[in-house]
Amino acid sequence: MPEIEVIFASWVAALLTLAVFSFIYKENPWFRFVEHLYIGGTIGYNMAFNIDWLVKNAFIPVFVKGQYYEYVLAFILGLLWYCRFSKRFFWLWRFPLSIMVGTGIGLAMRTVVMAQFIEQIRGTMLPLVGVPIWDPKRVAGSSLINNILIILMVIGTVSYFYFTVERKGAFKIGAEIGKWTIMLGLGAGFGNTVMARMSLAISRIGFLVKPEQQIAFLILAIVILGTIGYTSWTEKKKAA
Amino acid sequence: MAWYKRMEIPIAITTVFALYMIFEYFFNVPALKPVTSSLLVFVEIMGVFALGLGFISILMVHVPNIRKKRLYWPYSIPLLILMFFLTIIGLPTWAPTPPKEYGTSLWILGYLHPWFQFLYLNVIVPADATIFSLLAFFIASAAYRAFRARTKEAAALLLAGVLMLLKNAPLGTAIWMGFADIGTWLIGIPNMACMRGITIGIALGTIAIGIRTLIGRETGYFRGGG
Amino acid sequence: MSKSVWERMMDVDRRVIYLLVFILIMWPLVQPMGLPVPIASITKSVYDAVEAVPDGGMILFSADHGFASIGENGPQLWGFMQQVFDLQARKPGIRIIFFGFWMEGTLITDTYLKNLGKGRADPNYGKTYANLGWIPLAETGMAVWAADIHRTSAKDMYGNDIGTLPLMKDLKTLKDIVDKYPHVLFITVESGTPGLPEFLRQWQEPYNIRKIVVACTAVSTPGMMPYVGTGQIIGVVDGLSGAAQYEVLIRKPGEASAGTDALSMTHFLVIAFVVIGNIGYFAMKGRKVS
Repeated sequence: MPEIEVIFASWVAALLTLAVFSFIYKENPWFRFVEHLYIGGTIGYNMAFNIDWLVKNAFIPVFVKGQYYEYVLAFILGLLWYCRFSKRFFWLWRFPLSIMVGTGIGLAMRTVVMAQFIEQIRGTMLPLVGVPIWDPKRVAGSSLINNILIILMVIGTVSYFYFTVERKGAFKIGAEIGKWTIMLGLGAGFGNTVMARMSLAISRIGFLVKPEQQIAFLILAIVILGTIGYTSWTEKKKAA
Repeated sequence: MAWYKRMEIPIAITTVFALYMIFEYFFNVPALKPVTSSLLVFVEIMGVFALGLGFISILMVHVPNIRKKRLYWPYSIPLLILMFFLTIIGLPTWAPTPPKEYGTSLWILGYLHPWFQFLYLNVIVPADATIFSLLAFFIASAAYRAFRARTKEAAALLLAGVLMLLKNAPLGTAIWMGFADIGTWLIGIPNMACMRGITIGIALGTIAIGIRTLIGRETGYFRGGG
Repeated sequence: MSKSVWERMMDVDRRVIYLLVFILIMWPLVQPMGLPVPIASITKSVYDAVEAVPDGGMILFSADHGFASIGENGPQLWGFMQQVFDLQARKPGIRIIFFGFWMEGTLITDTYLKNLGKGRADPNYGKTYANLGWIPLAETGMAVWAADIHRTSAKDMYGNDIGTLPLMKDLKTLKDIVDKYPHVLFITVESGTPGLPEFLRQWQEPYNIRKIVVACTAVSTPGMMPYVGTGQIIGVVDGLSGAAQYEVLIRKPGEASAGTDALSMTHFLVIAFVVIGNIGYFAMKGRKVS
């Protein structure tokens, strides 16, 4: 890409980034503009990709190569999606939806029992003999303490979410263990969530402070903050 | 209501397709394999046709915005311009095999066109990534305002969270390597147990919702909001 | 009436917090501290699994993330792509197929391939690796692609007929891939749904794809741990921290390594504010009780 295009591209990206960051001060026209641009762009590239896939995998095989004529029925059923916008023909929209939902449910249900249920239960049946009591080199690895904790905690968590039986006796103890497990687990999850969110901001601010972006960053920051500051000041003056 | 408009017909279609997919997997009939793969491609093509629903919905919101000059109507203009521009530029090329130096002519379009690439790399990626990066600021503020050790349970949650933060920050592990071990244990044992319990619950929920849909008790998705 | 210290501790203006977050991210990016990054076992097991792919093995590489998570998934994807092509240079019999169930991921894959000098302009394209682009419809798409690759990806990302690619000519289903290549490693860089649970349901169970490694956003990592525990996946590259560890392992420092200092500063800022808020809360509670 010629250099002038590279510079122009980086200024555009920096402008949009700073316009969105200006939201943390207050909502303003810069942010609203980028927000709308983003929505339009997202729908635009979604459309482009979907049309591209349809042309390459459906229309060309049928209309150019003369294969898979059964796809014409799929095209007709696919067009029925748009009956959603008609009050009179709304009921036709249910046909492609029912096929999609039925297929999706069938695909999910046939393997969910093995992949997410039996495997998880099997994974909880951990050895209690032949393992060290504690392995300091593998703190989350297989050891007697960890294995006992995992078994109790998994049973506890499942008990905690069982609301149709009165909590008393052993079930109450299980639910209590589950409650503490969930607290620790979700607390750990919170720590990871903070890292995830901060990483997103680090990536964007890292883009702005790159040596080739710094001039664009400074000038555009002054322009954006200046315009927001000026409009805030004039609004306060009018209100006063 | 005319018989062809009754809900029972789509519910029956849903059940038939679902049972076929399940039956075909468990009974492993070789003659059904090509039928299944054709059916799945058919369903995929039909599903992709729904691409225009979002496009039309956006037009139904933003065109009246502009016509009636509602609040923030000027912003709908760049939205629609970019939406149409990207759709048109992204239309696939009609050349049988695109040239290696792709997109030197306006007539060769597609998502590999330089204008599409420019817009996605320098407009959509910065906008999308930065909008989500605002969460970093909000989570810091939310953690400060809401994260109080009001009860023993909240204190446990808070302690686990702080220990994970210390594990994830290289400065924390530089101060004391033990934070790495504690964090690894937290995510590998209690968090794993908690998420396993939730995963089992999700699997049971999937089965329950699936059965409810197959027997026609779950029909909310047919309402459509229209 | 002026506020007490404790009330002020509980009532810091949010814009002060936002400004501090911004400064504490910016400062280490401009003045790095160079703190060491400890390697987690779940990251090391991913690296080892990729390095263990033998000559004649197959790597299925799926980029299933959006632009929003490019801060985390971008460095992960870049690290993996550098590693797999280096591995292919050392073991020329390895084959790689790129694809994605999120359209954004396929665009980013193409951009990174271009940056590596690979992709559409590479004369070796189609022989040792292929980029099949986007496959629509999430879980249904996974099932369809596995059942009939040639009908779901009739043309690759660059418009070439899949039958004209030497690598893909005879690979019509996922079963063909599993039968032809004794060692199949599946790498997924993901940030949500469709993601790992869908792959487990549609690929691991029916087609016995056992070697799976995941790189995901940090927020998704807790949800991956049960699958690590059962052995359904080999390991997880956990967010930006995992990406930085991966860069250390492949000896190619990049964006993720540069960001870890900022990660440290912001994490300590969050801890500091949580502690300040709690001190203020307990002090105020004590005052009210007395």
